[in-house]
Amino acid sequence: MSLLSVRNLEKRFAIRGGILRGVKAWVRAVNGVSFELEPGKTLGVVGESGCGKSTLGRAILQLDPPTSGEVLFQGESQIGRSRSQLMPFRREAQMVFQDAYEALNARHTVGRILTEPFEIHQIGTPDQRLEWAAGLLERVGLPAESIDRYPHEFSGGQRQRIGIARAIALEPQLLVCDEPVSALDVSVQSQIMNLLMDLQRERNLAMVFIAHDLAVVKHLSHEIAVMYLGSIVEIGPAQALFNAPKHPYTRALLDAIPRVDVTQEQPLKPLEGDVPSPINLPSGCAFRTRCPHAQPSCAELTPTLEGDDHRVACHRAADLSL
Amino acid sequence: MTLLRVQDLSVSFTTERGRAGVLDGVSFELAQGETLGLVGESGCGKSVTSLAITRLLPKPSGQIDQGQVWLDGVDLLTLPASEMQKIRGPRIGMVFQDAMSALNPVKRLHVQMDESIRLHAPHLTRAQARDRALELLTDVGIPSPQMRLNDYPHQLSGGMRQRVMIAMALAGEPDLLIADEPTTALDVTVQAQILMLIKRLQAQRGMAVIFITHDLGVVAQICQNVAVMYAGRMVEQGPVKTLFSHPKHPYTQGLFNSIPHLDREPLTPLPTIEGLVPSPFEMPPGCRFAPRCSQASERCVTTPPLQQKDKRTLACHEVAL
Repeated sequence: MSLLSVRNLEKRFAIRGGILRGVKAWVRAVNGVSFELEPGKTLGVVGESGCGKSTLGRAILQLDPPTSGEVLFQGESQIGRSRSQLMPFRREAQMVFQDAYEALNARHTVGRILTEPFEIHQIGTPDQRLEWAAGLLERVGLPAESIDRYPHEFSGGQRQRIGIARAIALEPQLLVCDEPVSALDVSVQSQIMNLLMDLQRERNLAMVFIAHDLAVVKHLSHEIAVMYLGSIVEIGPAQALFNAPKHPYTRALLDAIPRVDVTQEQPLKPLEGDVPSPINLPSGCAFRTRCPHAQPSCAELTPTLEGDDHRVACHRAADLSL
Repeated sequence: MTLLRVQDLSVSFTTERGRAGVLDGVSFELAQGETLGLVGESGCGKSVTSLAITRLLPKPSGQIDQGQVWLDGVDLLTLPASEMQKIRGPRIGMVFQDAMSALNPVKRLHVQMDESIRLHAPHLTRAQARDRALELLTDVGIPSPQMRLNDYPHQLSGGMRQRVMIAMALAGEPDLLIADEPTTALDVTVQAQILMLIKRLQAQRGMAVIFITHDLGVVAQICQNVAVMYAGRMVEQGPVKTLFSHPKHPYTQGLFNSIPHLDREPLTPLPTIEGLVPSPFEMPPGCRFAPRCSQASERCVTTPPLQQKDKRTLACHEVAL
């Protein structure tokens, strides 16, 4: 059984206007996303800004309750639950945010930040909680005396370590990481990536790793989902997806990465145009307006994910060699 | 021919905690039509370098302590402010990371473009300036520019705003374009569009470009030469082709090793550079990378000599060029 099953998840936001604040339009941020995640594995979620990857992360954890669809954790539905009913799930599924400075209360000491999860879930005595907090600091590679300091006294990378320490405090089985390294310098980024990979091995953690940097996602993920305008357009084992992409959008993303290797000439092949608005999605395949392989028929039907391990949502997948 | 020569440039900032030396003896040269990548991590001084060249350091906290900036044989640092005003725009154009805050949010594009065009060409009429704006917007690849001229900045996507910024920087037909992280806030497909645009414009106009970035891949794509900075100093410079295939400075090597590029074996530990960048208030003596360097020895407490060979320079005691 999968640890996490997400089925046909949708999240729409209403755009209101007029005197009566009536709904004028819907932003379809997440538009029918399904996947399974096993313990100890990482699903990388990539896509450009506005593709719905962050909303997906928040909808999985019920931080922004989904509009429709199903989220099963260990086989149990987490949809439509009250705050208190969500407590067991919240203990098992935690989030790491991009901006650790905003995610940590600036007026609390690191000790208070790290003991709070135990307090909320009423675990241990105050002394035990402090002891555990010290253990967490050590685990994420921060000195023990950090416990009396405030978030602003730390560098960006150190703050992300505090954010990770808080996320693993209750020994969860699932971490949703939303761009955890994108605000960090490369030398620090690699330290945090190593920490996350170590923790995963140690604790058999499952991770949903959301990022726009394909190289980062590829390094950390077992499976990768590529999102475009709220939908997964391609999902598959990390190696297969990078070595033999099947969706023209995945191909375009890979071709747009500036490679460091100067021994091979690999000119960038930019995709034309901008991402359309998620308010008025193009008919049929949402990518067709930018797709170099689009045909008139692509405007008619919305493609669905097809395939076994490596699935792609493209009408032309069978006759394209990308 | 040399267009820009920066010599021994040092900059400090006065803060509540005292004086912070953020640039220390930075030197480099740029030929006409050349693209130089200025790379390093946050706080290394790459943006301060560009602000010092254009004399846009925040006042009164930022101060140039020493050095010269020669543009075609004129030391910009000795020019009166009114003369410097004539350099920014017609000689040196600038593009910043955050186009949204560089553009005025309450003015339509044609008003802002008119300003920057007629500031440097006051003889143009409003109608001529509008034609020029259309020409520039077309040149940077903005679709239906006539319609766009009446837009406010928030009506444009991030990539479009950055194109408008580039169009405005080109209005003065500068010999040198300084682009400070112009693609960092953009998505990868849009970044590729902007990089190709800068490359094309540069080839068409024979402009020199200083491209400030933390992304080594971007440098590999569009720069001929690269200068690597660490903690306010230049550690290594040279042609991208040779420097990227054989980085010499332990810091540059560390940077290359820690990038999770696509050809690396996945789910394996990445090499890291241990420790943290030193604070500008407590710079280590001698080589500033020494406290984090695996190859450091006792002689690294003195300032490393500058080695020069085959168009490359290196500031290191332990590694020979």
